[in-house]
Formats: sequence, structure tokens, C-alpha cells
Amino acid sequence: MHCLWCDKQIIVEVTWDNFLYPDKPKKLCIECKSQLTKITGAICKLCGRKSEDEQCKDCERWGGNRQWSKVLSFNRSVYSYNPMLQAMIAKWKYRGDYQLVEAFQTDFREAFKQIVRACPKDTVVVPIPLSDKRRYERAFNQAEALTQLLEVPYQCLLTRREGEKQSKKTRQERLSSTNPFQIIEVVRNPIILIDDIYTTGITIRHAAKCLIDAGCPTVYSFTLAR
Amino acid sequence: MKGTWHLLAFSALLAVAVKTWHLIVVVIVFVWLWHLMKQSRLTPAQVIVICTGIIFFYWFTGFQTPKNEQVQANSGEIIGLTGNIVSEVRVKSYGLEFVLKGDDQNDYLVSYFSKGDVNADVLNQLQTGASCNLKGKVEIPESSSNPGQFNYQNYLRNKGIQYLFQVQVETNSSVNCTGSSFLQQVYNVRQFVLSKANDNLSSFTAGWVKALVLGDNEGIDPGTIELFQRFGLSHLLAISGLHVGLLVGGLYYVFVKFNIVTKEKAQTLILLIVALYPLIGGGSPSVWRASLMTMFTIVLVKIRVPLQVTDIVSLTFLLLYLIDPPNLYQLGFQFSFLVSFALLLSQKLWNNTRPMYQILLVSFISSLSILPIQVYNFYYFNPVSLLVNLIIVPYFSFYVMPFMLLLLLLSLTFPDLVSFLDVVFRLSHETVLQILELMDKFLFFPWVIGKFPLAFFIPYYLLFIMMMVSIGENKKKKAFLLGSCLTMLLVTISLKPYVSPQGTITMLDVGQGDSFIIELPYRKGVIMIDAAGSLDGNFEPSNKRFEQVIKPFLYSRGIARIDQVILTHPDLDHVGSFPYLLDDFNIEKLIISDLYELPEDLQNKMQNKIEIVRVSDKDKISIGTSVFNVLHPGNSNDLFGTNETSLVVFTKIGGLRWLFTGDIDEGVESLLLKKYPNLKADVLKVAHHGSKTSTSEAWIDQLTPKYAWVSVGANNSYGHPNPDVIRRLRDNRVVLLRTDKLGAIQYNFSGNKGTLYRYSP
Repeated sequence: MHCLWCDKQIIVEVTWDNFLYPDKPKKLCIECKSQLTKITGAICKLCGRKSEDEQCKDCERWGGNRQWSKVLSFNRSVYSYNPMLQAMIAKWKYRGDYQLVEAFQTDFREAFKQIVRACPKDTVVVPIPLSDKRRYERAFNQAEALTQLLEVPYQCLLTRREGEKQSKKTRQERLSSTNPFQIIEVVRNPIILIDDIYTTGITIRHAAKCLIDAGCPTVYSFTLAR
Repeated sequence: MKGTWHLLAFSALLAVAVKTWHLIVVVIVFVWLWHLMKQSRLTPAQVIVICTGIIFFYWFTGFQTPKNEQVQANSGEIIGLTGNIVSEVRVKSYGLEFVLKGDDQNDYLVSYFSKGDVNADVLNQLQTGASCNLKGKVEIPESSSNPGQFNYQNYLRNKGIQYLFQVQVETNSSVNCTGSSFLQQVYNVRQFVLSKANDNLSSFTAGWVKALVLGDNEGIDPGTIELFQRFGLSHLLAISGLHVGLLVGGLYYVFVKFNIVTKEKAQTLILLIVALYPLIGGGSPSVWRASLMTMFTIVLVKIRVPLQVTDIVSLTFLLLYLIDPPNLYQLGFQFSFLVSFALLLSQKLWNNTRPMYQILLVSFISSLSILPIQVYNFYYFNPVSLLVNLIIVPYFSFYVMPFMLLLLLLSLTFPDLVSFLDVVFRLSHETVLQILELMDKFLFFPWVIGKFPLAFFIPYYLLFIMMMVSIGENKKKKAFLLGSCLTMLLVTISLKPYVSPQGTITMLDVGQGDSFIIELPYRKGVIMIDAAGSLDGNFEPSNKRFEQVIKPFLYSRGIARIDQVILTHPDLDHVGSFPYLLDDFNIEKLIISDLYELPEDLQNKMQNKIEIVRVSDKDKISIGTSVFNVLHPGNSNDLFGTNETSLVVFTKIGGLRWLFTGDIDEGVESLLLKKYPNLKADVLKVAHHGSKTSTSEAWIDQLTPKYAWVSVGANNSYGHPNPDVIRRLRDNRVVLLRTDKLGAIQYNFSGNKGTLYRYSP
């Protein structure tokens, strides 16, 4: 097996826990893997970023805004959005290395299992959609690709109108933009939204607001990077 | 197969396990493999390789015992033997020793006894690879005739040797050999190095250099070797990865740092040296393992195939097993591979830890990984050995071993320089050994567990693996819990006799002498009647019988404490092992007759340690629910000789009436007949090893025994048991059970029913 990122051969360390029960084949070598930092320890209760405070500065700003507070119950993410992950997501999402998503599978699933425990049983998994144009450009929806890693049933309840890329806008511009999401089908269950990155949180909040307005009781979100 | 070669090695072990255990094991393993494949933890290709491996090795286990020709042995006749010398011709204290592959395909361990130096002509002829024509006697190696006793026959068989051959040294014509092979050249190097060490170093230092670098333990005091065994340090005396690692590292450093050769050439050169080292280093399984592993590593680095170390150790294991299957049954082989594999699996544990913690872990893991095998073979576990290893292993690794290499290197190159270093080593090492001896004296508390049952191996290793996993995950509570379970498992084994309704009476085969051990049900009591001693070559009392028969038996039954020792009378063949028993076991009471004269030194030795109970006829000794009636002697003084004063004890155990008679003669027998006209016995211990002066017709008539137990040495010089006695017993339809014919005799009972067993085939 070769590393999906650096293409070096992966040497699995044989230890007490795997000598009779071999690990599933690894997708990343130890070196590359070590450059991804999982979010552990103290986090912001709301947005799930690493933080010593119960609520980070960023979330306080959201909390102050009447329109947005309580739209999202909480967000949790697997990794910190560090340069390594930035590079990996760029290669995966923008340069079409679709297979690279497998590198995240183990951690993504493991973290999801933990998050789901905090959600009600009837929670529905919903990936953040792409606009048709963007979908055509990229050939796949990164949020849906991540959702498929989880190997759980999910529903595509939202559509997205064409807008400018979030990554090209400033925070202010993002906040003031109009909600690009529309609901296709109304469900009364709690929802957990899946996306690749939580940066300012506006995309997820737009989607969440859309769902809440349609009558969903609570919305959580789970992303790969924060 | 990268990273999973160890699974193939396990499949080889599994095949052997199936042979000895049950086919169900295979079913479990196939279900396991299927599950792993379903979960894509193993590829189908890997599963196929492993399954093929299991089938191949199963076939291989059947293949490895070729039917050899039977040889007429033990006749004492001088016969001719032709074949090839296939081992090194070793110089021993008593002469020469080597293995000869006979033309009949049997392997013979040949010994050439000689007082002083061996005849130079003979020495020149006996070379590895030579084809020989020898004259001498063929013998079958001694098997064990007691439970718990070391089995020399099995030991040699596990080395592929079936027979012993003793060269007749009286005539010169008994050795006719020609030729030699390349191996002899290598062994010549070994002999040369050995002789250099002998010439240039003091005998103490030379002994250690030879043991640690050349794998020859003859120069080390046997007492020290036993001391190392007791404290689980024997691995230091076997050349292993540590030694090979230091040798390779040292040589590579010298070659490259001093610009003697290029790096690439140095690697090739070292490969060659490592390949030959097992032959020069004595050829034990551990040195083969270490050398082959080093060779694999160097070659794999050269051809750029990155393999796991666990793969390398597994490949080495498979190679050594396939080349010489009996290897698997050698203790050194088992220990060497188990410990290195366990340590390789643990490597993750000592990343980022303090060196002290690391040494602790290494010592802990090595001890626990081989503990079942150790207890299976030696019946006890020495908890202090963990601590001692902690200190002694670093001492050997960083001080003794490099020192030994340096001394040997210097004695080969600059012999004038060694004398000072020799003194330094001797003084320091002697001090350390003295400290160890002190510890042995005050801190040796063996936990006598008894023979480790085979069925407990699986739960033991499962718990051990689970514990190691928890340690790896840093779950301290869980690890501690599992560790406690592991301890409980050992406690369970040692407590088993205390909950077992089964009792045992054993007549040990101690040669010409007596030793009976009575174990009451639920371990309500352990009673020993007599403790036969032995004489060494100079007719001095020795501990041979005690160390080889009595102690291993008691340990194998998990006995460290004896409630009562009854000594019938003070003859060496009945009491000779008692002083050693006193040293190694906790004895509550010593029971002797009023007429027994205790030697003063023994009396001093027992002072305040054990209770001495003097008894005479009509006394009763109670223990648990059993009662021992003393029938003889009274405290009158009209008895002559020690035999006549023998304690005679009657008891009812396991539904039978037992009469233990010591060495009484006819006179005492008729005395007893008069005193106890209603005396009967089901099992009669035939007095005085079946001497014609005992066991009269009247005695048998009165007692009407069903079984006659005779403890007697094979081919003893007294002619015991006497044919007349045998005839008398036969005529009365008494079943004769003799230790010289049947080995140890055991009566296992539960309630009032029991079964008799013999130990020798």
C-alpha cells in the first residue's frame, strides 16, 4: 500500500493490538498522518474549534446577532484547518483527486460516531449541496463524498443557488450575502449537516436557517476541518 | 505478506498444536481468518497463503519423524559403528564429545572418555565431516522414571539424537577416521580463539569470555549457572541478539571509522562474519536466531526491501524450524523467539519514556512472556527475578559484554595488555556475583506453582496480550485489572490441590533407597516418609538424588511446605536428602523414633526451625482426618543395629491399609506378629528393599497384602530384591510393584477408591 498523499510505501508497525487482528489498510503514511492535527481536548462548545474558553470569540459574535443565534446547536470538526489539510483539500476538491477522500475515512467515521451519540436517535444526515454549475465544474460534491465515507443513510434535502465562491469573499461579505439554500423536502427530524470546512460558519448557518424555518427542531453540523 | 509473516509462523505453531490438542483449534482459526478477510484486514491472497501454510505445516509435522532402524542397545557389547561426524568435536572436562550420523541414519552422541589429554593421533582423526569407523558401546539415553524429573532421553531426541555411543578407549584401534569438511576449518578458528582466551586470561575471566562470546559455559562455576537459573538470568549466558548486536556494531564502527574498508565492503564483510558466528559461538538456538536475523536485515537493506522486524523474526523462525524441526521443542529456542517477538511488539511502548521505565518494561515483558513455559518446566516462579533483571541486565549489556569483547580482541592481538584489565574485571565481577549470592541467601522466595497445565496456556496468553494492549493504549486501570487476573490465574493453578478431592501416595524411584510422599485430599497434609540420599563418585554424600528426583517431584506437585517428615532410621539411603530438604522446604514437624540418634550438626541446623517429635509404639500421629499408628520400635534398648530400630507405621488411606516398614528384619517382623496378632495390610512396603533377611512367609501369611511395593535400585550390588522374597510374594499372589522396573509408583485416590499408576513405560 502506498501513501495517498506522498506515495511512499506504508510500513505498518506490528504491535500488541494488531498482531492477531491486523489493522485495516492505512491510506496515509505515518509522517503525512502526523501532519494532520485532530481536534482534541478543550474545544468551543459551539463551533468545535480548539479553545480554552467555553465559547470562542468567533461564536460570541454569532451569539450577539439575533438573526443567527440558536440556528445551529453546535458544530464539531475532525481536524484543525492547518496548511497540510489545506493543501490536501485543495488537491482533492479543486484539482479533482477524488480518491484522496479515503485518507480521511477512519478518523471521519470515528469522530462521527462520537458526535452522533450527542444527537437524538432520529437525526437525519444531510450533506451541504453544491450549485449545479459548481457540481459540473468539480464533478463531485465534496460534502456528499464525505457523507458517503460514513456508510450511513443520508438525504439530500437542500438545493443551492449559484453564488460566488465563499472562499473568495471576506467575512463581512459572507455575512451579508443572501441565503443561497432552498428546501426540497420538509422533514420534522433533527438534522446533522455535513460539510468539508467550517470557516466563518455562514454557509452552514444559511443551510441551518433554511431547515429551521421549514420546521426542523434542531440542526447540528459536522465538518472535516475547522 | 509484508507485516503479516508472523501469521505464517503462528500457523506453523498451530499445526503442531493441532497434532497435540484438537482439531477444534483449526476451526476457530479459520473462522477468525474469514472474519479478518470480510473486514478487509487481510487480503484474500494473504488468507490463502496462511491456510496453505497451516496445511503444509500439518503435513510437515507428520513428515519429520522418520522411522529409523532400531539398534540393539544397552547390551554392554563392544560393536563397530560407521558414519560421519556432523558436529563440532568438543573438548569437555572428561574428554571429547561429538555427534555422529551413523550409516543407519541414526544420530549418535559419541563420547570419548580420557583422563588427561586426549591422544594426539585420535584428536587429529576426529574432525568434523570425517567418515569414521568406531568401536564401543551403544546405550539408550536415560529416560525419566519420576514425575517432574528431567528427561534426558527427550532432551537429546529434541536435538535429533537417538543413541549414546561410548568409544572403547582401552585399545588404540577403536578410532579410525579419515577426511574433514570445511566446517572443521571454522571450528578450528573457534578452538584457536578458545585457546587464546585460556592462555592469556585468568581462568575466572576466561570462563566468562568463553561463555559470553564463544557460547562455551564449561568455564563457569556450576553454582553460578544454577544461581543464574534461580533468578531468571540464564538468558544472559546464552548468546543472543544483544551479543550479536554489540559484535556487529563494534566491528562496523572499527571498519568504517578507521577507514579500513568502505561502507559497502564493511557490510559484506560483516554479513560473512555474522554467517559464521553461530558456528564459532557454540551454535545454540539463540545465537542462530540472532545471526540469521542480522543477516536478513543487512540483505534486505541492501536489496531495498523494507520488511518489518516482526517479519524478519518470523522468517528466521520458519527457516530454523524447517531446517531442523526438533528445534521447536528446545527451551532455548522457545525462550529466544518468544522474548524477542514480545519485545518487538512492545517497541511502541518505550518511545518517549525514561530509560529507567524502559528497562523495567523490558524486564517485565520478557519475564511474563515466557512465564508459562518456565513454570511448565521448572514449576516455580521467582518474583524477585524481575528486580534482579532490572539491575543485572544493564550491567551485562553496558559493562560485562563490551568488556568481554574487548578482552577477547586484545588477547588475540595484544596479549600483553590484558592482565591489568583482567584484574579489573575479575574484582568487579566477583563483587557483583557475591552480591547476587547474598540476595540468593536472603531474598530467594520461589513461588512454587506446580506444573503449569497445558489448558491454562491459552487463557494466560489471552490475558497477557489484552494487558499489553491496555498498556499500549495507556489504560492503566484496565491494565492493572488484567494484570491482577493474570496473577489470579497463577494463584488458581497453585491452589488447585486445595480444592481437589484427589489424594496421592507416591513411591519415588530414588534408586537404592526409600522416599514416599503422601498428599492428602484437599491438601490437608503432605507427609513424607524417608528421603533417600546419594553418593558421588568419591563415595561422599551428594545432593544429586535430591536435586534430580525429590525436589523436582515436590515442586511439580506445587509443594513447598511439608507438614511431616517421618524418618524411619538414620541410614543414608533413607535420610541422605533430609539436610537439603531442610534448606529448600518449609518443614513443620520431624517425626523420629525415640531410638533415633540425631547427629549434632543436623540438630543445630534444625534449632528453632522445626518441631522434633519423638514417637514410640502405640503412639498416634494425626494429620487432617488421617491417623498414622506407630507400631515399632518401643523404647527398649534390646534392639541392635539401625535397621531393627526402623519406625513401622500403619495407616488407612484411600480405602486401603498401608504398612510402611523401613528396613526391619525377620526378627522385628515376628516381634510385631506377636504384638499385633490381627494386623492386616493391603499395601505392604517390602522391608529393606526386598532383602532376604526380611519379608518372611509368616509375615506375608498374617498380613495378606494385595500389593507389595519395593523401592530398589536397578542392578544394585546387594542383589535386592532377593529372588526368594520375590517367590514368596508371588506364591501368595501378591502383586509386586518395583521402582527399578516400573519407575515411580503412584496411587491416586478419591474417597475410598483409587487407581495405581506406574511412571516408566
